[in-house]
Amino acid sequence: MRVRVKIRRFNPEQDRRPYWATYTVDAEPTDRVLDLLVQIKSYQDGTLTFRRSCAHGVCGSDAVVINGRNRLACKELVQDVGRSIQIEALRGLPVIKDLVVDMEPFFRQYRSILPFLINDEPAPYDERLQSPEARARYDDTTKCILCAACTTSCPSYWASSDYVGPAAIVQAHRFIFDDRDRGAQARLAILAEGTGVWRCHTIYNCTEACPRGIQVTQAIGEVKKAITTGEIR
Amino acid sequence: MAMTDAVLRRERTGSKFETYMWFFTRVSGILFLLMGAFNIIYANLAGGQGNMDVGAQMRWAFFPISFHVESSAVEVTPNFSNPFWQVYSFLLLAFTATHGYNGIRVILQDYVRYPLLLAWLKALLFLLWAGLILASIFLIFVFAG
Ligand code: FES
Repeated sequence: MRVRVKIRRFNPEQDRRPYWATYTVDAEPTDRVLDLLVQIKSYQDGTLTFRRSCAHGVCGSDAVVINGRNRLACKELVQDVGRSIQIEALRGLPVIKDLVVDMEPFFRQYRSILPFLINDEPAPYDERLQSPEARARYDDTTKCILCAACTTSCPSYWASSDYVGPAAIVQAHRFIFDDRDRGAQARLAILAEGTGVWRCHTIYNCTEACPRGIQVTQAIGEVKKAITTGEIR
Repeated sequence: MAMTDAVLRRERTGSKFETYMWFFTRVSGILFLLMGAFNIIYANLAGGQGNMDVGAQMRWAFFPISFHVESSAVEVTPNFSNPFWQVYSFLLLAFTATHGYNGIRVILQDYVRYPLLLAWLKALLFLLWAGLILASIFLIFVFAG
């Protein structure tokens, strides 16, 4: 089948502003949008720039806006998005070129919530054991691949990049509710500030955008609850 | 805690203001609806039924003062004449105003990008809020009281 692919392109060294370029590609219904991008780059226009690494929805490199929705290009099948496909770079982050955005502001917010195990108690000889129930408590938020689809779908984040954003809160949730971790109060204090969870107005764009199906808004709600009640469960 | 302390020692205000305001917004939202409902019920029990039209009842719900229901035949006492209704009306008004102004503050914070402009707008908003509270104190406790 023939597919029309419209890509929002921008090369800061040549273009004053972004423009739409249209390509026609032969594709199978079971091809992924990423395959179309690779095909265009290989056979039609070598200057097209995008990120991808694993090509299997694990690394989080190729989140883009496909027909208005934040998706991983490597997970979207042509049969699901239709014959006319519009692809643009993630919103809310500076575009470096074509579909490649500068992820640094995103990672800066990620680092701000201390995304690592904090526990200064002497480690046992082998490992810090955890019950299956305690592990299940934060299972959902361990699935995050830091693709930025949620954060860049959030109107609060578009409005102000001071907001830590849903992805950082998901990562914080992953440690706050981990019973081996001791840094919960520090993270909750960071997220209780003006740039933290209160910027979330439960719009649910993040939940809709997450390619891993994480219940992002719920995770944010659990963090809000932990802050207001002071209890972590 | 050597490692932890070094990592955690980061610029932070530690302010709980946003948390309190968020919580206040939820609670006051529920509270002022209940308080308004109580006003309507009370007005009807006190003889408003048949004397006040729907518009007047609505106005009465959120600000029970006589010239809101002038057109009706109902005898509008207590009209802030006893401390209970004075405090009740003031609380209702204060909750509603603070709830609303805080909402505007949050929207400004989300959408105004220039720090200086944001600071000015917030100051203006605070003055409006404070003015409204002062006016309502005057109206309820001094003027009508
Ligand atoms: S290329 Fe790794 S997630 Fe799509």
